[in-house]
Amino acid sequence: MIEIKEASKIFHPDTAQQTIALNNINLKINKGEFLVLVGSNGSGKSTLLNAIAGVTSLTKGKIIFDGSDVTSLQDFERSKWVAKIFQNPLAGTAPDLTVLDNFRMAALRTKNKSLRTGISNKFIESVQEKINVLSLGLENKVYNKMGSLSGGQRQALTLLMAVMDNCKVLLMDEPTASLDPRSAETVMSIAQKLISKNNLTAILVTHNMKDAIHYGNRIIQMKEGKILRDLKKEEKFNLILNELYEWF
Amino acid sequence: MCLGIFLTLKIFNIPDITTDGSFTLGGAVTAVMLINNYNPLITLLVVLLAGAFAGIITGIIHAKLKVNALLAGILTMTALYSVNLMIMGRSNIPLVDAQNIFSFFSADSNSQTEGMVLMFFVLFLLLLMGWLLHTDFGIAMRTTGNNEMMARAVGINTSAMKVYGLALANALTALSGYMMVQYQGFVDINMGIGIVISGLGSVMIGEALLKILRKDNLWLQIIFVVIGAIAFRLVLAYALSAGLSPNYLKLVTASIVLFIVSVSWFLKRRSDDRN
Repeated sequence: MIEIKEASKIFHPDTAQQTIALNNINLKINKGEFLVLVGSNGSGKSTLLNAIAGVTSLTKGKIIFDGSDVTSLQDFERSKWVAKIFQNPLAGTAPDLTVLDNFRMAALRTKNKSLRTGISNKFIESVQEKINVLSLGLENKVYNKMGSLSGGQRQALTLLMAVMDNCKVLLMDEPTASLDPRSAETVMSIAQKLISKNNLTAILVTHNMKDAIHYGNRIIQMKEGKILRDLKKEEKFNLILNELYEWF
Repeated sequence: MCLGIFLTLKIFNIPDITTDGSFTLGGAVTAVMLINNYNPLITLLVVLLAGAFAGIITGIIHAKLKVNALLAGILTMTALYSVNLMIMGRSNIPLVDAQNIFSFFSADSNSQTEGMVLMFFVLFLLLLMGWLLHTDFGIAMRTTGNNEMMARAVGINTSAMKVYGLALANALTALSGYMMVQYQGFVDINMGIGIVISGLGSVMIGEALLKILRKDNLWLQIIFVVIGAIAFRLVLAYALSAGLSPNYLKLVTASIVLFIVSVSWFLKRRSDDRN
Protein backbone atom coordinates (compact mmCIF):
# COMPACT_ATOMS: atom_id res chain seq x y z
CA MET A 1 0.00 0.00 0.00
CA ILE A 2 1.17 3.56 -0.74
CA GLU A 3 0.35 6.25 1.77
CA ILE A 4 0.94 9.94 1.04
CA LYS A 5 0.63 12.16 4.10
CA GLU A 6 0.29 15.95 3.96
CA ALA A 7 2.49 16.12 0.88
CA SER A 8 3.40 19.56 -0.42
CA LYS A 9 5.82 20.62 -3.10
CA ILE A 10 6.71 24.25 -3.72
CA PHE A 11 8.99 25.10 -6.63
CA HIS A 12 11.13 28.26 -6.35
CA PRO A 13 9.88 29.12 -2.83
CA ASP A 14 9.96 32.77 -1.74
CA THR A 15 10.61 34.04 -5.26
CA ALA A 16 8.40 35.67 -7.88
CA GLN A 17 8.27 32.29 -9.68
CA GLN A 18 6.95 30.41 -6.64
CA THR A 19 4.64 27.57 -7.73
CA ILE A 20 2.69 25.31 -5.41
CA ALA A 21 2.67 22.05 -7.34
CA LEU A 22 1.29 19.88 -4.50
CA ASN A 23 -0.83 21.39 -1.76
CA ASN A 24 -1.19 19.21 1.34
CA ILE A 25 -2.12 15.99 -0.45
CA ASN A 26 -3.39 13.03 1.60
CA LEU A 27 -3.87 9.82 -0.34
CA LYS A 28 -3.97 6.07 0.29
CA ILE A 29 -3.55 3.67 -2.62
CA ASN A 30 -4.28 0.04 -1.82
CA LYS A 31 -2.37 -2.95 -3.14
CA GLY A 32 -3.64 -3.97 -6.57
CA GLU A 33 -5.40 -0.67 -7.15
CA PHE A 34 -5.05 0.85 -10.64
CA LEU A 35 -5.36 4.60 -10.18
CA VAL A 36 -5.82 7.00 -13.09
CA LEU A 37 -4.73 10.60 -12.49
CA VAL A 38 -6.32 13.29 -14.66
CA GLY A 39 -6.20 17.07 -14.59
CA SER A 40 -5.21 20.03 -16.70
CA ASN A 41 -1.59 21.01 -17.30
CA GLY A 42 0.10 22.23 -14.12
CA SER A 43 -2.42 20.52 -11.84
CA GLY A 44 0.33 18.53 -10.11
CA LYS A 45 -0.19 15.03 -11.59
CA SER A 46 3.36 14.50 -12.81
CA THR A 47 4.81 16.13 -9.68
CA LEU A 48 2.87 13.65 -7.55
CA LEU A 49 4.11 10.76 -9.67
CA ASN A 50 7.71 12.04 -9.51
CA ALA A 51 7.42 12.49 -5.74
CA ILE A 52 6.33 8.85 -5.38
CA ALA A 53 9.20 7.74 -7.66
CA GLY A 54 11.69 9.84 -5.67
CA VAL A 55 12.68 11.98 -8.64
CA THR A 56 11.22 15.07 -6.93
CA SER A 57 11.70 15.65 -3.20
CA LEU A 58 8.78 16.91 -1.14
CA THR A 59 8.85 20.30 0.56
CA LYS A 60 6.70 18.83 3.33
CA GLY A 61 5.00 15.52 4.06
CA LYS A 62 5.73 11.80 3.94
CA ILE A 63 5.56 8.93 1.50
CA ILE A 64 5.15 5.43 2.92
CA PHE A 65 5.40 2.14 1.03
CA ASP A 66 4.07 -0.94 2.84
CA GLY A 67 4.66 0.70 6.22
CA SER A 68 8.22 1.90 5.41
CA ASP A 69 8.82 5.64 5.28
CA VAL A 70 10.69 6.21 2.00
CA THR A 71 10.50 10.03 1.96
CA SER A 72 14.26 10.48 2.37
CA LEU A 73 15.21 7.73 -0.10
CA GLN A 74 16.56 8.72 -3.53
CA ASP A 75 14.98 7.51 -6.77
CA PHE A 76 17.48 4.66 -7.33
CA GLU A 77 16.84 3.41 -3.80
CA ARG A 78 13.06 3.44 -4.32
CA SER A 79 13.45 1.32 -7.45
CA LYS A 80 13.24 -1.63 -5.02
CA TRP A 81 9.47 -1.00 -4.99
CA VAL A 82 8.78 1.32 -7.89
CA ALA A 83 9.13 1.04 -11.66
CA LYS A 84 8.41 4.04 -13.84
CA ILE A 85 7.33 4.28 -17.46
CA PHE A 86 8.31 7.62 -18.92
CA GLN A 87 6.32 9.80 -21.30
CA ASN A 88 9.21 9.75 -23.77
CA PRO A 89 9.56 6.16 -25.04
CA LEU A 90 13.30 6.79 -25.52
CA ALA A 91 13.83 7.68 -21.85
CA GLY A 92 13.17 4.26 -20.32
CA THR A 93 15.87 2.33 -22.17
CA ALA A 94 19.58 2.69 -22.95
CA PRO A 95 19.73 3.10 -26.76
CA ASP A 96 23.38 2.12 -27.31
CA LEU A 97 23.05 -1.08 -25.30
CA THR A 98 21.51 -4.25 -26.70
CA VAL A 99 17.99 -5.36 -25.79
CA LEU A 100 19.62 -8.12 -23.70
CA ASP A 101 21.83 -5.66 -21.79
CA ASN A 102 18.75 -3.53 -21.03
CA PHE A 103 16.83 -6.58 -19.78
CA ARG A 104 19.82 -7.69 -17.69
CA MET A 105 19.80 -4.39 -15.81
CA ALA A 106 16.03 -4.61 -15.37
CA ALA A 107 16.40 -8.14 -14.00
CA LEU A 108 18.86 -6.82 -11.40
CA ARG A 109 16.73 -3.84 -10.31
CA THR A 110 16.77 -4.92 -6.65
CA LYS A 111 20.05 -6.83 -6.74
CA ASN A 112 23.77 -6.07 -6.79
CA LYS A 113 25.38 -5.44 -10.14
CA SER A 114 28.36 -7.70 -9.50
CA LEU A 115 31.45 -8.74 -11.43
CA ARG A 116 29.81 -11.73 -13.08
CA THR A 117 28.70 -12.19 -16.64
CA GLY A 118 25.03 -12.80 -16.08
CA ILE A 119 23.88 -12.98 -19.69
CA SER A 120 23.83 -16.78 -19.98
CA ASN A 121 21.95 -18.92 -22.51
CA LYS A 122 19.30 -19.52 -19.84
CA PHE A 123 18.87 -15.76 -19.34
CA ILE A 124 18.64 -15.17 -23.11
CA GLU A 125 15.94 -17.86 -23.44
CA SER A 126 13.95 -16.37 -20.55
CA VAL A 127 14.10 -12.89 -22.13
CA GLN A 128 13.01 -14.30 -25.51
CA GLU A 129 10.10 -16.08 -23.80
CA LYS A 130 8.99 -12.86 -22.12
CA ILE A 131 9.29 -10.84 -25.33
CA ASN A 132 7.39 -13.52 -27.23
CA VAL A 133 4.29 -12.70 -25.16
CA LEU A 134 4.19 -9.25 -26.77
CA SER A 135 3.70 -10.80 -30.24
CA LEU A 136 5.68 -7.93 -31.76
CA GLY A 137 8.24 -10.19 -33.46
CA LEU A 138 11.05 -8.88 -31.28
CA GLU A 139 12.23 -12.18 -29.80
CA ASN A 140 14.93 -12.54 -32.47
CA LYS A 141 16.14 -8.97 -32.00
CA VAL A 142 17.61 -9.42 -28.51
CA TYR A 143 21.14 -8.73 -29.81
CA ASN A 144 20.03 -5.52 -31.58
CA LYS A 145 20.70 -2.16 -30.02
CA MET A 146 17.67 -0.79 -28.24
CA GLY A 147 18.02 2.43 -30.25
CA SER A 148 17.28 0.55 -33.49
CA LEU A 149 13.69 -0.21 -32.37
CA SER A 150 10.65 2.04 -32.80
CA GLY A 151 9.19 4.15 -29.99
CA GLY A 152 6.23 1.79 -29.55
CA GLN A 153 8.45 -1.30 -29.45
CA ARG A 154 10.73 0.35 -26.88
CA GLN A 155 7.80 1.40 -24.70
CA ALA A 156 6.39 -2.15 -24.80
CA LEU A 157 9.80 -3.55 -23.81
CA THR A 158 10.10 -0.93 -21.04
CA LEU A 159 6.84 -2.26 -19.60
CA LEU A 160 8.17 -5.82 -19.65
CA MET A 161 11.42 -4.65 -18.06
CA ALA A 162 9.50 -2.80 -15.36
CA VAL A 163 7.85 -5.97 -14.06
CA MET A 164 10.89 -8.27 -14.32
CA ASP A 165 12.26 -8.01 -10.81
CA ASN A 166 9.62 -8.01 -8.13
CA CYS A 167 8.26 -4.51 -8.77
CA LYS A 168 5.29 -3.63 -6.57
CA VAL A 169 4.27 -0.22 -7.91
CA LEU A 170 4.08 0.74 -11.58
CA LEU A 171 4.05 4.47 -12.36
CA MET A 172 3.12 5.50 -15.89
CA ASP A 173 3.47 9.15 -16.89
CA GLU A 174 1.51 9.57 -20.14
CA PRO A 175 3.19 6.45 -21.55
CA THR A 176 1.41 6.67 -24.90
CA ALA A 177 1.63 10.44 -25.47
CA SER A 178 4.39 10.11 -28.07
CA LEU A 179 3.05 7.01 -29.83
CA ASP A 180 0.82 6.51 -32.86
CA PRO A 181 -2.74 5.29 -32.04
CA ARG A 182 -2.07 1.61 -32.86
CA SER A 183 1.18 1.48 -30.81
CA ALA A 184 -0.56 3.35 -27.99
CA GLU A 185 -3.35 0.77 -27.89
CA THR A 186 -0.84 -2.11 -27.92
CA VAL A 187 1.22 -0.58 -25.12
CA MET A 188 -1.83 0.08 -22.92
CA SER A 189 -3.25 -3.41 -23.41
CA ILE A 190 0.16 -4.89 -22.51
CA ALA A 191 0.25 -2.66 -19.42
CA GLN A 192 -3.25 -3.79 -18.42
CA LYS A 193 -2.29 -7.47 -18.76
CA LEU A 194 0.95 -7.09 -16.80
CA ILE A 195 -0.74 -5.13 -14.00
CA SER A 196 -3.46 -7.73 -13.46
CA LYS A 197 -1.12 -10.73 -13.95
CA ASN A 198 1.36 -9.42 -11.35
CA ASN A 199 -1.29 -7.83 -9.09
CA LEU A 200 0.58 -4.51 -9.22
CA THR A 201 -0.42 -1.22 -7.70
CA ALA A 202 -0.44 1.14 -10.68
CA ILE A 203 -0.80 4.85 -11.30
CA LEU A 204 -1.46 6.18 -14.78
CA VAL A 205 -1.21 9.89 -15.59
CA THR A 206 -3.07 10.64 -18.79
CA HIS A 207 -4.64 13.39 -20.87
CA ASN A 208 -6.46 10.78 -22.94
CA MET A 209 -10.01 10.70 -21.58
CA LYS A 210 -10.85 7.43 -23.36
CA ASP A 211 -7.93 5.75 -21.58
CA ALA A 212 -9.02 7.36 -18.30
CA ILE A 213 -12.47 5.77 -18.71
CA HIS A 214 -11.25 2.42 -20.04
CA TYR A 215 -8.39 1.65 -17.67
CA GLY A 216 -8.10 1.44 -13.90
CA ASN A 217 -10.47 0.97 -10.98
CA ARG A 218 -10.08 4.42 -9.43
CA ILE A 219 -9.85 7.91 -10.89
CA ILE A 220 -8.57 11.10 -9.28
CA GLN A 221 -8.87 14.58 -10.73
CA MET A 222 -6.26 17.09 -9.62
CA LYS A 223 -6.41 20.87 -9.82
CA GLU A 224 -3.90 23.44 -8.57
CA GLY A 225 -2.02 20.84 -6.54
CA LYS A 226 -5.09 19.47 -4.78
CA ILE A 227 -7.31 16.42 -5.20
CA LEU A 228 -10.64 17.65 -6.55
CA ARG A 229 -12.46 14.36 -7.18
CA ASP A 230 -11.75 10.76 -6.15
CA LEU A 231 -14.00 8.06 -7.63
CA LYS A 232 -13.57 4.36 -6.82
CA LYS A 233 -14.87 1.09 -8.25
CA GLU A 234 -18.60 1.44 -9.23
CA GLU A 235 -18.46 5.23 -9.30
CA LYS A 236 -15.49 5.02 -11.67
CA PHE A 237 -17.04 2.24 -13.78
CA ASN A 238 -20.28 4.20 -14.16
CA LEU A 239 -18.42 7.30 -15.30
CA ILE A 240 -19.09 8.16 -18.95
CA LEU A 241 -16.86 10.06 -21.35
CA ASN A 242 -19.02 13.20 -21.61
CA GLU A 243 -19.20 13.45 -17.84
CA LEU A 244 -15.40 13.31 -17.67
CA TYR A 245 -15.01 16.06 -20.30
CA GLU A 246 -17.29 18.26 -18.16
CA TRP A 247 -14.76 18.08 -15.34
CA PHE A 248 -12.42 20.35 -17.30
CA MET B 1 45.89 5.74 -20.97
CA CYS B 2 43.78 5.50 -24.10
CA LEU B 3 41.66 2.77 -22.50
CA GLY B 4 41.13 5.10 -19.53
CA ILE B 5 40.03 7.91 -21.83
CA PHE B 6 37.80 5.47 -23.72
CA LEU B 7 36.18 4.54 -20.41
CA THR B 8 35.47 8.11 -19.33
CA LEU B 9 34.68 9.62 -22.72
CA LYS B 10 32.87 6.82 -24.52
CA ILE B 11 31.41 4.74 -21.71
CA PHE B 12 30.58 7.46 -19.17
CA ASN B 13 30.33 10.41 -21.55
CA ILE B 14 32.54 12.45 -19.20
CA PRO B 15 35.37 14.60 -20.62
CA ASP B 16 37.97 13.94 -17.90
CA ILE B 17 41.21 15.88 -18.09
CA THR B 18 42.57 14.66 -14.78
CA THR B 19 44.58 12.48 -17.19
CA ASP B 20 47.35 15.09 -17.59
CA GLY B 21 47.96 15.00 -13.85
CA SER B 22 47.42 11.30 -13.15
CA PHE B 23 49.81 10.31 -15.99
CA THR B 24 52.61 12.27 -14.31
CA LEU B 25 51.45 11.05 -10.89
CA GLY B 26 51.96 7.45 -12.06
CA GLY B 27 55.42 8.39 -13.35
CA ALA B 28 56.38 10.30 -10.20
CA VAL B 29 55.39 7.49 -7.84
CA THR B 30 57.19 4.97 -10.07
CA ALA B 31 60.44 6.95 -10.18
CA VAL B 32 60.55 7.68 -6.46
CA MET B 33 59.77 4.08 -5.50
CA LEU B 34 62.17 2.49 -7.99
CA ILE B 35 65.14 4.67 -7.02
CA ASN B 36 64.40 3.67 -3.43
CA ASN B 37 64.71 0.02 -4.51
CA TYR B 38 61.07 -0.99 -4.18
CA ASN B 39 59.94 -4.03 -6.15
CA PRO B 40 58.47 -2.98 -9.55
CA LEU B 41 55.32 -5.04 -8.91
CA ILE B 42 54.71 -3.40 -5.50
CA THR B 43 55.38 -0.08 -7.23
CA LEU B 44 52.77 -0.99 -9.84
CA LEU B 45 50.19 -1.61 -7.12
CA VAL B 46 50.91 1.74 -5.44
CA VAL B 47 50.76 3.52 -8.82
CA LEU B 48 47.33 2.01 -9.53
CA LEU B 49 46.06 3.09 -6.11
CA ALA B 50 47.47 6.61 -6.53
CA GLY B 51 45.82 6.98 -9.96
CA ALA B 52 42.54 5.61 -8.61
CA PHE B 53 42.69 8.09 -5.73
CA ALA B 54 43.11 11.00 -8.19
CA GLY B 55 40.09 9.70 -10.11
CA ILE B 56 38.06 9.39 -6.91
CA ILE B 57 38.79 13.04 -6.10
CA THR B 58 37.59 14.16 -9.55
CA GLY B 59 34.60 11.81 -9.23
CA ILE B 60 33.56 13.20 -5.86
CA ILE B 61 33.94 16.81 -7.06
CA HIS B 62 31.84 16.03 -10.14
CA ALA B 63 29.26 13.48 -8.94
CA LYS B 64 28.77 14.49 -5.33
CA LEU B 65 29.47 18.25 -5.38
CA LYS B 66 27.79 18.54 -8.82
CA VAL B 67 30.68 20.52 -10.33
CA ASN B 68 30.94 20.36 -14.14
CA ALA B 69 33.09 17.36 -15.15
CA LEU B 70 35.54 19.49 -17.13
CA LEU B 71 36.07 21.87 -14.22
CA ALA B 72 36.37 18.97 -11.75
CA GLY B 73 39.14 17.51 -13.94
CA ILE B 74 40.92 20.87 -14.23
CA LEU B 75 40.83 21.31 -10.44
CA THR B 76 42.32 17.89 -9.75
CA MET B 77 44.86 18.21 -12.55
CA THR B 78 46.03 21.59 -11.23
CA ALA B 79 46.31 20.28 -7.69
CA LEU B 80 48.19 17.21 -8.93
CA TYR B 81 50.98 19.38 -10.37
CA SER B 82 51.95 20.41 -6.83
CA VAL B 83 51.33 16.90 -5.48
CA ASN B 84 53.63 15.45 -8.15
CA LEU B 85 56.35 18.01 -7.35
CA MET B 86 56.01 17.10 -3.67
CA ILE B 87 56.39 13.38 -4.47
CA MET B 88 59.37 13.95 -6.78
CA GLY B 89 61.11 16.62 -4.68
CA ARG B 90 62.48 18.14 -7.89
CA SER B 91 61.28 18.55 -11.45
CA ASN B 92 63.19 15.67 -13.06
CA ILE B 93 64.41 12.29 -11.80
CA PRO B 94 66.55 9.97 -13.94
CA LEU B 95 66.22 6.22 -13.31
CA VAL B 96 69.88 5.27 -13.56
CA ASP B 97 70.66 1.66 -12.52
CA ALA B 98 67.30 1.25 -10.76
CA GLN B 99 65.51 -2.06 -11.26
CA ASN B 100 62.44 -1.69 -13.46
CA ILE B 101 59.61 -3.86 -14.74
CA PHE B 102 61.64 -4.84 -17.83
CA SER B 103 64.77 -5.89 -15.90
CA PHE B 104 62.48 -7.59 -13.34
CA PHE B 105 61.37 -10.06 -16.04
CA SER B 106 64.75 -10.40 -17.77
CA ALA B 107 68.16 -9.49 -16.31
CA ASP B 108 69.60 -8.58 -19.74
CA SER B 109 66.66 -6.44 -20.78
CA ASN B 110 66.74 -5.21 -24.36
CA SER B 111 64.22 -3.68 -26.75
CA GLN B 112 62.78 -7.13 -27.51
CA THR B 113 62.08 -7.78 -23.81
CA GLU B 114 60.61 -4.31 -23.46
CA GLY B 115 58.35 -4.96 -26.45
CA MET B 116 57.20 -8.29 -24.99
CA VAL B 117 56.44 -6.80 -21.58
CA LEU B 118 54.55 -3.88 -23.14
CA MET B 119 52.61 -6.27 -25.39
CA PHE B 120 51.73 -8.42 -22.38
CA PHE B 121 50.38 -5.41 -20.47
CA VAL B 122 48.37 -4.16 -23.46
CA LEU B 123 46.83 -7.59 -24.14
CA PHE B 124 46.08 -8.14 -20.45
CA LEU B 125 44.38 -4.74 -20.14
CA LEU B 126 42.41 -5.28 -23.37
CA LEU B 127 41.03 -8.57 -22.09
CA LEU B 128 40.40 -7.12 -18.62
CA MET B 129 38.49 -4.14 -20.02
CA GLY B 130 36.49 -6.32 -22.43
CA TRP B 131 35.57 -8.75 -19.65
CA LEU B 132 34.70 -5.97 -17.21
CA LEU B 133 32.36 -4.19 -19.61
CA HIS B 134 30.47 -7.44 -20.25
CA THR B 135 29.87 -8.17 -16.55
CA ASP B 136 26.74 -6.98 -14.75
CA PHE B 137 28.86 -4.22 -13.19
CA GLY B 138 30.15 -3.22 -16.62
CA ILE B 139 26.65 -3.14 -18.09
CA ALA B 140 25.63 -0.90 -15.17
CA MET B 141 28.58 1.38 -16.05
CA ARG B 142 27.51 1.53 -19.70
CA THR B 143 23.88 2.16 -18.73
CA THR B 144 24.97 5.06 -16.50
CA GLY B 145 26.83 6.70 -19.39
CA ASN B 146 24.13 5.99 -21.95
CA ASN B 147 20.93 6.94 -20.10
CA GLU B 148 21.37 8.14 -16.53
CA MET B 149 17.60 8.48 -15.94
CA MET B 150 17.02 4.86 -16.94
CA ALA B 151 20.05 3.75 -14.91
CA ARG B 152 18.62 5.28 -11.73
CA ALA B 153 15.21 3.78 -12.54
CA VAL B 154 16.78 0.29 -12.47
CA GLY B 155 18.47 0.92 -9.12
CA ILE B 156 21.94 2.04 -10.19
CA ASN B 157 23.61 4.61 -7.93
CA THR B 158 24.90 6.65 -10.85
CA SER B 159 26.98 9.03 -8.71
CA ALA B 160 28.90 6.14 -7.17
CA MET B 161 29.22 4.49 -10.58
CA LYS B 162 30.84 7.64 -12.03
CA VAL B 163 33.31 7.73 -9.14
CA TYR B 164 34.22 4.04 -9.77
CA GLY B 165 34.63 4.76 -13.48
CA LEU B 166 36.87 7.78 -12.96
CA ALA B 167 38.93 5.84 -10.41
CA LEU B 168 39.46 2.97 -12.84
CA ALA B 169 40.23 5.29 -15.77
CA ASN B 170 42.83 7.25 -13.81
CA ALA B 171 44.37 4.08 -12.41
CA LEU B 172 44.90 3.00 -16.03
CA THR B 173 46.37 6.41 -16.89
CA ALA B 174 48.76 6.22 -13.93
CA LEU B 175 49.75 2.73 -15.13
CA SER B 176 50.56 4.32 -18.48
CA GLY B 177 52.81 6.85 -16.69
CA TYR B 178 54.44 3.91 -14.85
CA MET B 179 55.30 2.18 -18.12
CA MET B 180 56.43 5.39 -19.85
CA VAL B 181 58.85 6.41 -17.10
CA GLN B 182 60.52 3.01 -17.10
CA TYR B 183 60.64 2.93 -20.88
CA GLN B 184 62.21 6.39 -21.28
CA GLY B 185 64.33 6.13 -18.12
CA PHE B 186 63.28 9.33 -16.37
CA VAL B 187 60.31 11.25 -15.03
CA ASP B 188 59.68 14.90 -15.75
CA ILE B 189 57.09 17.10 -14.05
CA ASN B 190 55.85 18.29 -17.47
CA MET B 191 55.58 14.84 -19.09
CA GLY B 192 51.77 14.82 -18.78
CA ILE B 193 51.05 18.18 -20.37
CA GLY B 194 48.75 17.66 -23.36
CA ILE B 195 48.74 13.88 -22.99
CA VAL B 196 44.93 13.89 -22.81
CA ILE B 197 44.83 15.24 -26.38
CA SER B 198 46.89 12.27 -27.61
CA GLY B 199 44.50 9.94 -25.80
CA LEU B 200 41.45 11.65 -27.27
CA GLY B 201 43.02 11.50 -30.73
CA SER B 202 43.69 7.77 -30.36
CA VAL B 203 40.14 7.01 -29.21
CA MET B 204 38.71 9.06 -32.07
CA ILE B 205 40.95 7.45 -34.71
CA GLY B 206 39.78 4.05 -33.47
CA GLU B 207 36.16 5.17 -33.60
CA ALA B 208 36.53 6.66 -37.08
CA LEU B 209 38.16 3.44 -38.38
CA LEU B 210 35.27 1.39 -36.98
CA LYS B 211 32.76 3.71 -38.64
CA ILE B 212 34.58 3.31 -41.95
CA LEU B 213 34.42 -0.48 -41.50
CA ARG B 214 30.75 -0.10 -40.42
CA LYS B 215 31.34 -2.32 -37.41
CA ASP B 216 29.86 -1.71 -34.00
CA ASN B 217 30.79 -4.17 -31.33
CA LEU B 218 32.12 -3.57 -27.83
CA TRP B 219 35.14 -5.86 -28.18
CA LEU B 220 36.05 -4.22 -31.50
CA GLN B 221 35.63 -0.76 -29.94
CA ILE B 222 38.18 -1.66 -27.26
CA ILE B 223 40.60 -3.25 -29.73
CA PHE B 224 40.34 -0.25 -32.03
CA VAL B 225 41.25 2.10 -29.18
CA VAL B 226 44.66 0.40 -29.13
CA ILE B 227 44.86 0.39 -32.93
CA GLY B 228 43.97 4.10 -32.85
CA ALA B 229 46.75 4.76 -30.33
CA ILE B 230 49.30 2.99 -32.52
CA ALA B 231 48.07 4.83 -35.64
CA PHE B 232 48.26 8.17 -33.82
CA ARG B 233 51.85 7.52 -32.73
CA LEU B 234 52.80 6.40 -36.25
CA VAL B 235 51.46 9.63 -37.73
CA LEU B 236 53.47 11.68 -35.20
CA ALA B 237 56.60 9.57 -35.81
CA TYR B 238 56.19 10.04 -39.56
CA ALA B 239 55.84 13.82 -39.10
CA LEU B 240 59.04 13.94 -37.03
CA SER B 241 60.99 11.71 -39.43
CA ALA B 242 59.86 13.95 -42.30
CA GLY B 243 61.79 16.78 -40.67
CA LEU B 244 59.18 18.43 -38.45
CA SER B 245 60.75 20.41 -35.62
CA PRO B 246 59.84 18.85 -32.21
CA ASN B 247 58.86 22.39 -31.15
CA TYR B 248 55.78 22.05 -33.37
CA LEU B 249 54.79 18.62 -32.02
CA LYS B 250 51.91 19.84 -29.84
CA LEU B 251 50.61 21.99 -32.71
CA VAL B 252 50.65 18.97 -35.02
CA THR B 253 49.02 16.80 -32.32
CA ALA B 254 46.17 19.30 -31.89
CA SER B 255 45.78 19.60 -35.69
CA ILE B 256 45.58 15.81 -36.09
CA VAL B 257 42.87 15.62 -33.39
CA LEU B 258 40.95 18.45 -35.08
CA PHE B 259 41.20 16.59 -38.40
CA ILE B 260 39.93 13.37 -36.80
CA VAL B 261 37.03 15.19 -35.12
CA SER B 262 36.06 16.63 -38.51
CA VAL B 263 36.25 13.21 -40.18
CA SER B 264 34.16 11.67 -37.35
CA TRP B 265 31.56 14.41 -37.74
CA PHE B 266 31.45 13.85 -41.52
CA LEU B 267 31.08 10.06 -41.09
CA LYS B 268 28.31 10.50 -38.51
CA ARG B 269 26.43 12.91 -40.78
CA ARG B 270 26.75 10.51 -43.71
CA SER B 271 25.51 7.63 -41.54
CA ASP B 272 22.57 9.73 -40.25
CA ASP B 273 21.65 10.72 -43.81
CA ARG B 274 21.72 7.04 -44.84
CA ASN B 275 19.38 6.12 -41.97
